Amino acid sequence: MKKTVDVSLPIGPVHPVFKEPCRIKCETRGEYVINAELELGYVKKGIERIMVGRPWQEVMFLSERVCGICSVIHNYVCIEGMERINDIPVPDRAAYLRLVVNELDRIQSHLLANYSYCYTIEHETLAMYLLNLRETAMDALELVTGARVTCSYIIPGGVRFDLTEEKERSIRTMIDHIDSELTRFVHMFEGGSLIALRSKDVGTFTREEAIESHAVGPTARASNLDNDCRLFHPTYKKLDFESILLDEGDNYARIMLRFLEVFQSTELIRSALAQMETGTIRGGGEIGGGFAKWSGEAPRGELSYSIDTDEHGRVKKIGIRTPSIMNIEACVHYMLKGVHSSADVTSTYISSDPCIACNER
Amino acid sequence: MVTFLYEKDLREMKLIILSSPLHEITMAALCERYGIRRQILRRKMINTFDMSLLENIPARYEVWEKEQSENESSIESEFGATLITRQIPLLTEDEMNRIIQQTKEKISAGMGKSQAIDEGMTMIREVISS
Repeated sequence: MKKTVDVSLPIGPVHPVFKEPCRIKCETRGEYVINAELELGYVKKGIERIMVGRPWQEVMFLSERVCGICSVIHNYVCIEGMERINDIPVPDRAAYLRLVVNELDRIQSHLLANYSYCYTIEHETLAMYLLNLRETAMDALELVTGARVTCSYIIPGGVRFDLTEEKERSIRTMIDHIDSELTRFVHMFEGGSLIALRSKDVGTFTREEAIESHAVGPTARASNLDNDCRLFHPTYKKLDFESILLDEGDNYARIMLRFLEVFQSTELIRSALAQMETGTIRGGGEIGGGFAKWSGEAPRGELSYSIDTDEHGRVKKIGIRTPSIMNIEACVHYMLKGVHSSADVTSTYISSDPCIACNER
Repeated sequence: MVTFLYEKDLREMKLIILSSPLHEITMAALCERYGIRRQILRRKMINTFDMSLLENIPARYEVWEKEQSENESSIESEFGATLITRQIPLLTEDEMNRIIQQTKEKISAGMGKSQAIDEGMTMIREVISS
């Protein structure tokens, strides 16, 4: 159905604040946004189709290639899904190490998201501070897994490498550094009057809208919708995990919630390192035939894998539902509606932490 | 859907989205529920929805399924009114209200409930196919 509109404002596919290509088409009255639409398809990878017919040994590596920012959780959920097909047990130490790596990945992803937001509202100083701090999390990730992006750390029945005492001490020092530096940056964010002007009551997203669009992760939790998959994860349960919720549902709340979740992640890492006992890190295991659907909490929200394998562990069918699918849709159809300035379109879009790579899996 | 003169036709990309494994399951459920051919439903979705909404269809369907179990007996829930007006907006609220109103009038005029709902479903199919 073609529609005739008064003013149409296309943003993208290539735009200075977009990390990845997409096109937002805003229907506006002056600068007031009445409606918005999103067009994708510039970087479609077709990974689901590439995975079909391949053995699990190849699929576990391909799953990491869905997203370069949150590759650990793709590895984590894909392997845990496969483990459920054949009931492969995971040693306690390996389960805690998986959690540590996942939380380090969350820290770097949240810091990158907040960097992008600060950069978009042109607070470059804070943006660069955050990007610099992210390097500490990336270094910690590299220390544990041996890689920065496609770590391939998690394997069926365990993890690849153990954590030596020396490395453990380094990790503790790094997360202490993140905590102390981030406290300073959060004060800068809270005290910045211009930040509040650009962020408070902008891109408001209600709880009802979050339910309707199935928003997930920090985007939903900033609107007081608790759907954190970590609440049901066996390892997180051992650490008495509780999710953080905020009420406001605006850009400010979404950014603030990510800051709070970074502090929560460092606490979780400390608890996991404290509870972790010495022992084996690999139980072994082979993937056979069967079906499993498994979800995990990615930095951006619920990530689901539906995997169907044959008796040799080859993938017959696979469906990946990434959190950005829900969050980008929620952003475009709810948050952008009613935005008063076209400058706020980009900042609102970035506040939902969109990942086109995940969306175009 | 806003279209620009210089823009490429996006139907092929939209069809790729609709043929992913998770979408296939949702499309099959929708086709069965409303007795409509998949090609017709695909055409309607491609013409009406933008890509982000197309991507989110399985998740939106899940939300509706979860809410569905709470109130099952009303005419609105028989038609899946919230599903096709709010979750997956194939019909406008006015169109849906008109169909519901006509169905209620038929029932109060003495027509059997199941027959009236069948006729209502036919009207929904006609709107989707148009």
